[in-house]
Amino acid sequence: MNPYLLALPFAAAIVDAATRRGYAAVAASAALLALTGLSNPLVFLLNSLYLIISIYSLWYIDVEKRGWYWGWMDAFYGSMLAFLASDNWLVVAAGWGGLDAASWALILTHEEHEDRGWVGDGARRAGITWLWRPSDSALRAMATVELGTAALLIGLAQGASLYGPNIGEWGVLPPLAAAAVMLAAFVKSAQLPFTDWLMTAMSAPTPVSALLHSATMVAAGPILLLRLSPALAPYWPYATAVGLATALYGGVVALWQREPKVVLASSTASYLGLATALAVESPAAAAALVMAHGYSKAALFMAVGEGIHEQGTRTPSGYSPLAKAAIAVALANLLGFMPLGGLAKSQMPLWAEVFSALTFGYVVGKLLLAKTEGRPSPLSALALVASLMSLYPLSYRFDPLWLLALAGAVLVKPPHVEALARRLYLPVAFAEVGSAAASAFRSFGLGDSAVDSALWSIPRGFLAAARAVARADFAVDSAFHSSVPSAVMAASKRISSIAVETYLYAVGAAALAVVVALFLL
Amino acid sequence: MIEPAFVEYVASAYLVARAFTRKYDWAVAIDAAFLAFAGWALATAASPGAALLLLPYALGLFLVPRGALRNYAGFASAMAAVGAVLMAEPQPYLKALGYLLATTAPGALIAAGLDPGSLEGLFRYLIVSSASVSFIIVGLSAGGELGSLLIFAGILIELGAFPAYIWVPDVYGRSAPEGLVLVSSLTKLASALALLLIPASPPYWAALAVGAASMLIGNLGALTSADFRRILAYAAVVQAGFAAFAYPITPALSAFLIFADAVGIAGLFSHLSSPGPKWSAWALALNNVGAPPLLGFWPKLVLLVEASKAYGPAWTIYLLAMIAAMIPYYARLASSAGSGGGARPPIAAVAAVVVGALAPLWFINVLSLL
Repeated sequence: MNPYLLALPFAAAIVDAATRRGYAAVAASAALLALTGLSNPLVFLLNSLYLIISIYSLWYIDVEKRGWYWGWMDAFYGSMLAFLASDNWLVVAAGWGGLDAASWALILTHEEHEDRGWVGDGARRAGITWLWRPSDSALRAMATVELGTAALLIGLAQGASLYGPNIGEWGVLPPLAAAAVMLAAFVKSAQLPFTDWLMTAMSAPTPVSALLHSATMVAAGPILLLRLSPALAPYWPYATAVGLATALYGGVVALWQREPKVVLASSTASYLGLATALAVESPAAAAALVMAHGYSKAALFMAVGEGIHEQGTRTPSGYSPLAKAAIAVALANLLGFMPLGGLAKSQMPLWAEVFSALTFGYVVGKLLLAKTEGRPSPLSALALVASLMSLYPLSYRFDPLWLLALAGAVLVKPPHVEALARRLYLPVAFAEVGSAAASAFRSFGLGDSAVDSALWSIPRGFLAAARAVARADFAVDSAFHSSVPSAVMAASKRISSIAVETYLYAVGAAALAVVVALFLL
Repeated sequence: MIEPAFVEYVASAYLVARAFTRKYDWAVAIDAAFLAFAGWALATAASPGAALLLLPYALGLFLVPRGALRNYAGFASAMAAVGAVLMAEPQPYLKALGYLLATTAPGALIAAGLDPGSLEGLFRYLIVSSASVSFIIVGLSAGGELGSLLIFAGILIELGAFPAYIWVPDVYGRSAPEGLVLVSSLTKLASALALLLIPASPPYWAALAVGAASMLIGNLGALTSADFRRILAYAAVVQAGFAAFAYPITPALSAFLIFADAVGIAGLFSHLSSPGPKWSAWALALNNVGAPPLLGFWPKLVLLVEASKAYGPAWTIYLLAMIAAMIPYYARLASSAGSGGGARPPIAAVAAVVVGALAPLWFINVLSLL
């Protein structure tokens, strides 16, 4: 891919931010889709999904900060494109950082008071209030993912110093650098224990979620791992352990979430956990899974987004028939019943059926079994288009074992479990760590300002020392110029009044007499 | 050395010219011309630096401010200079004659004011001086160890060193200050030059003892004196002590010490007679204490360095204490000796400052003589 094409999304960002419309986004993604085609499947995934989502946004976005939204969406897209298209570690890191900045900005799209921008039911449990407004969500996201970005810079810099700037040519990384890179990937793709920032990132408008969960941001985590799989090969057990733990956590917790977008976010954590688990060991499977999941998840968000958009609430009561069709296709794809999903599934081990069953459970239970209401709109039509992108591999091979996923039917109506509804209280731990970090920062700040004021007082100390020296000097000077001389004078005068001359004469005369006597003798 | 006959011709011509001159200005001019000749003679015969030795004699022309015999100050200075030059001759009789001239001619000026005190002072001085000259003549005739001892004793009597110091405060204390300008400087310088030019080899411990005792007695006397003339008299005893103390190191250092002090003490007596500005009194007093960069600083510096090498730290500390003890009475003298419009003390003060400040030009020559 021609590197100059990377400028296209950013040019579009400027145009869109100025015009407050998304036409440049549509044009740029269409142009890039046409120019790059299928040569890189992940770039194709990104281009095609951004084209669909930006068209979707033309209808969806009625927010106050429209220019902000479009500018940052294009920058988001451009950052991911840079991350995918370049092999240079600095461009990769820049794209990675651009994703952070854009997702922070996009989470802040909704106003603080808008219900659509909130996450959580507002209950007071375990010492925290379960409600996050856009500014809370943006701070949580930023504070978490920047940890990963800092780690990434350290890891990539060490890799570059060892093997040169081209990450495709890197050999096995030393443990510390590998740990830094994997930490970055885990944080980015919301792996345990960093999962919760993704849940509250639902404050962003639905198209942002559709893009963030499918082809950008969180997907960058496993994509980084699979791109660096040769460099990280010896460390695959760590990725597998963290990925599987997150996959299980996300899949189970999703069954108990109330807000559809949080269900989907939890599901994303689960699927990216799977991708992370596979990324180092079998990168091809992970890539196929990222693609299949990308189209399905985008379609699911877009379908749910129609309900949110039409009803003006983050907990819509039902979805249109077309939206449900899109949801059904997306689910079929995730279960392996569509060509793209089948391609992914065929490369995955059998235990992956557990997660398919969980997926069946929450998608059917939370989305398909909701009321069917409302008129279909272009939004659900686009959702259906996104879900049907899973048809694009031309061959399909079915494995009857995949039907095991339908066992998830038993999970459709789970009994209420408070701990799971509260996401195993991970947000509480998050809040604890967050406030501890904040107070650590504050005390560091206090220490820093103490050091600063100490430094500022050095000149004052010098001044005081200079004054003291000047005073001492003045004292010495006046002693030498007046006290000592006048004391000497006074003493001299007093001594001069002592009459010793007689004795001196006597001494002289006596001495003289002695000398003369000696001489005569 | 200068051709004696040539000196005799010029000296005879000078004597004739001087005998017929009554006017003060003319007298000073003739005296100055003769001293200039003497300076030229010294510079050609010895070295350009040797002419510097005539500085106190040249100052003697100008520093006597008043008195009936003021006209003869230049004459006495010139005769003293001739005497100093004669002392450098190898013949013992010329040495004796030179010493006589160099001490008696300036001594005669004690009676410059012709007042009874000064006249009595003059007679007392002449007695002491004749004793000193007698010791020298006898010493020169006797030769040997005894002769050497007699010569040294004669010079010490003239210098006023312990134990023969009583005459100094006695004579100075009763005479008018204008009469003391020359006797306090030129006769001392003559004695110091005699130390250099008339060979004597006293036991080194004797010189050290005489020097140390003279410094102590002189300082005690000066510190406890109120009369400025007596202060300077005892200060002269201290200086005699320095000269005696330096003698075993090298006689030239004794001459150098007295040379520098002669400028200061002549200037101070001139100041007492006809006060000049305050600064000149301070400059002259500090010169005699040995404050840098005045002329008096350099010989004292050499003395301290050489004494520390020759006698060790204890004697150096003693020397430093003796120098420090000079500060109170010289300061008292300079601060309370009054001030006025006298033009003569500044001449000596400027000489002390300029020659001292220009030390880098001549100091190396002096060091090579030491």
